Amino acid sequence: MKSHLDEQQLNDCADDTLDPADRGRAEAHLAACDACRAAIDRLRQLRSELASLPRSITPPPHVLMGVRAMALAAPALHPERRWYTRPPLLAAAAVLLVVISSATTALLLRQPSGVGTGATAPPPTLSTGSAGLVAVHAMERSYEDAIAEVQRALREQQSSLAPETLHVLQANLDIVDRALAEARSALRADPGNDALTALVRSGYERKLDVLRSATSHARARS
Amino acid sequence: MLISTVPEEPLIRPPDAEPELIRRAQLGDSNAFDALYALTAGRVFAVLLRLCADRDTAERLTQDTFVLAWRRLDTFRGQSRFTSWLHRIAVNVMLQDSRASERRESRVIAVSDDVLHAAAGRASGSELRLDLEWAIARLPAGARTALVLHDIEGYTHDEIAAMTGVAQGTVKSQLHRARRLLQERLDR
Repeated sequence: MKSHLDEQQLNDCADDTLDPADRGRAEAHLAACDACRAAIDRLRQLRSELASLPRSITPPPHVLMGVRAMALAAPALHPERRWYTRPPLLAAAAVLLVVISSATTALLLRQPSGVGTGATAPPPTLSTGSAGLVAVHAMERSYEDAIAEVQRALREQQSSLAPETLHVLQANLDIVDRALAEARSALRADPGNDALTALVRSGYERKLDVLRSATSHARARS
Repeated sequence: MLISTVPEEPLIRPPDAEPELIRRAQLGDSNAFDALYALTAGRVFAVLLRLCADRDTAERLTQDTFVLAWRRLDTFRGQSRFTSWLHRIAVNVMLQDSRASERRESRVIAVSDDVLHAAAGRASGSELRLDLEWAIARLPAGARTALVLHDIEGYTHDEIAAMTGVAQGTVKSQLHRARRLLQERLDR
């Protein structure tokens, strides 16, 4: 018997992509070679199994949130320049949303949700028509108070968190803080901008979310 | 919250909805783009989840893909399927992800079970699918890309070569290598 079909020929047979010139030779060989026929059958079986895998897997909701923050606000189709076209702020918006999906944050957020944090209720929201400097200060003060309370609770429990978890948690908080600082700076310059107000509020909410989840996680482990 | 709620994908959508949604989105209708996302995000995420073998990376690159899609939507002329157009962007995004290659190679082993279960689905034969997804995730990046795009997504060697910037012959050899490695791992 002539030598067996090589890997490419076997795959071409399984895919039905053999050149006509090669097809006759391959078929002649296969008529007398059980091993090559079996190899082609196995390749076809593998292809069938691969083709049966799901081709659609729904991404988590925060992916769309990130798309909206980064893309839908961007003036790709509408050239008027708006606040979110400024790269640092676009990056800040992105960071605020991306950070929540980091591995450690995801780990923390998967913890049982029923554990209380001892934190106060979320700070009051700001009506879009009152986004003056005084109102911005009030909003920030309210969030800072809530964050300070959660941080106190976390400090009491943090000994139950693994050092690497604390390290990544701090890194994430640093990222949020940097993004928040960008957004707050922009809001100082444009205190009536509702979108910037929403971005700042979102940053504070992210920070609270991370801290609360970490506190819950720590309490669950203690 | 900065963002409103996620739109629900309707159970039944008229088959001709996609072209109209694309047309409206190209005019700047963000609600139409949301609806397009609902229609197509699963296809993009599935590809990236398998190509990256890492859930966080796949989520980030899915986001980047749709950001780019929104910005480039006016260049879509309907000469290919919309999902194919999105997949091309997704593969580009994946390839351009500067940190991806090193991390992907080192994190292949760390593919979490929830990712594999999500990819394998819960239908009958899910154990086999789980084994298969696990074996795919452990393939070398180039072989994995060729296999996912050819054997799961159904793209031709030429189309994959155009997407990835790799010669057609290389795509074929990577595909054959991927199948061989898969068979070896599944036979153990």
